Amino acid sequence: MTVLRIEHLNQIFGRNTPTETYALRDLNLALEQGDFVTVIGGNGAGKSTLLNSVAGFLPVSSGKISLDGQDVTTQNVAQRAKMISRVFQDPRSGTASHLTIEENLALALQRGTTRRFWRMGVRKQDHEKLETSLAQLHLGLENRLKDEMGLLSGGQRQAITLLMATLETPRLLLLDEHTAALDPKTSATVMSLTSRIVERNHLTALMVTHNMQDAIRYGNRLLMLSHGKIVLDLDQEAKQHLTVPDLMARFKETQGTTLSDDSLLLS
Amino acid sequence: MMIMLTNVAQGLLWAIMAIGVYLTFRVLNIADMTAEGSFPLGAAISARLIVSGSNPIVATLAGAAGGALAGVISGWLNTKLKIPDLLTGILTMTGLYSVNLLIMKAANISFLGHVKTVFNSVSAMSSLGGTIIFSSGLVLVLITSLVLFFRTEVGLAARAVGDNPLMSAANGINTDRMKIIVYMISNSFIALSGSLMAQTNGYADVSMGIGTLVIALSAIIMAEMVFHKSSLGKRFLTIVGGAIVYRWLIAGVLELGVDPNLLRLFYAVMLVLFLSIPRLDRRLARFFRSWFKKEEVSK
Repeated sequence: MTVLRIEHLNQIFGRNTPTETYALRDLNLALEQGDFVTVIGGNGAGKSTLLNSVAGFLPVSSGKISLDGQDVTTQNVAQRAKMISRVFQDPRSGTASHLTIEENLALALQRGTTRRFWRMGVRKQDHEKLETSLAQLHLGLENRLKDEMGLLSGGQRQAITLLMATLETPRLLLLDEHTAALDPKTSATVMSLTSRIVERNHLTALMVTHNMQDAIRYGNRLLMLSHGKIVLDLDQEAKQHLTVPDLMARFKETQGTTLSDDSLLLS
Repeated sequence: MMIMLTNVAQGLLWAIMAIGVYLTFRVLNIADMTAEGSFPLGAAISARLIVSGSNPIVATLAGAAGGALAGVISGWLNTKLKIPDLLTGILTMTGLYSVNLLIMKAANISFLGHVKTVFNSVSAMSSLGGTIIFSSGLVLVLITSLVLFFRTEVGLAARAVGDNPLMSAANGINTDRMKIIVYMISNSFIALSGSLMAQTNGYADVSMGIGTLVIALSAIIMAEMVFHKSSLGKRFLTIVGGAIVYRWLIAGVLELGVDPNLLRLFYAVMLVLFLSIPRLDRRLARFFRSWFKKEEVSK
């Protein structure tokens, strides 16, 4: 079953001006149920634009986006949140700092529902569920439900954002370089947690990353974007035999240049 | 002592307005100036109704409802027409000036004579003690309802929108709806305060809204200076304290024989001081804290 379908998507910035640029150019993509797709590409290749278009942050210039066969092209972020959840690059973006851990999680439990005056925001009967799911992070946060989010470290917040994104199983999980702002050790922890959660819940996920190692190691399909187009699309089998130098070579081929800051991230 | 008590009554009414302002200013993180128009709007609606013989309670509620409507208009301008929050407040406030004149049919309405207000319609409440008890009760009821509201799904979502709009939208919260709801509650509180203020003072005046925001912000900043971090409920209570202490300061200044015409200049200078003290010297803030505690004890 096709979860996400993108047809002839164009994102044009500065239309009808001398600086008109195509951030995405006639992009087509289909994600099947259970696909975990990693996306790489240089700066300005269109990775973030792609994710923002799917999430609804960016109205499309032209083209069509559908989720589970339903056309969502004109829906806003909040409407699409019924089906899509997202983890941002900045750990502060995914959680509300002045609310408690419990309140943040409760907000995520209510994702996609209409909020009511006659229902409590934090419900006693959810308490156990929240504690159990926090315990699964192995960060010792299960006893800190009443603590303010702002007290936690970036890694802890990112782990909680990930938990929030999957507390109510989404149809599509968007990961926007969600480990890029973390130190290498925390980044690895959050990445393995991501993989565990995606596998356990059989999620369909689209992950943008700067880390080529991660792009190869995780997921069952790898896309490379360049100048708003998909220039490389590798399936599970092709991915298995891929090494980072291979990928670098392919990158140079498509880009015509060498990687600059991206190469620093290679281990 | 008498002067202290009289001003407690006034301070309690200011507290209702200051809590209203807090909702947009701190909970939503928005600078909403609608207050300067919704405060006299509440007074105007209630005054008009009371002098034409309405039940004072109905008149008061109508005043608060008028404020809610003003809040919806500002919220709608801000969220749907994407007009920046500072400007939406100025627009609504300016428009309301004419609306208030239209409602009152004059620049002011006096309650002289045998007009019944919420404060004198029940004989037990016409005394100063009665007024204070009534106002304290009302403030407590309002604070309790607010605290309960902010614990509901909608209330939690509204707090999230003020904290992190990006995350709120990503969790499916209709951010525009939440903002409009808070705008509405905020301005109904402010208008309620205006309505009650007019009824205690014995008149409604079209210019009585000037200074509303500065008074409210002073009460809020004083509360935050003394108690840096508080839960929402405690914060509302500290704002009540702030409003009363601020009212005492003003009364003290008037008592010293300062020209009442200079009062608003004084409001402004005071707020500048409050805003700069925490930056100028943290130790001064600590001094205020201990000073405040002594006040509490001597009461």
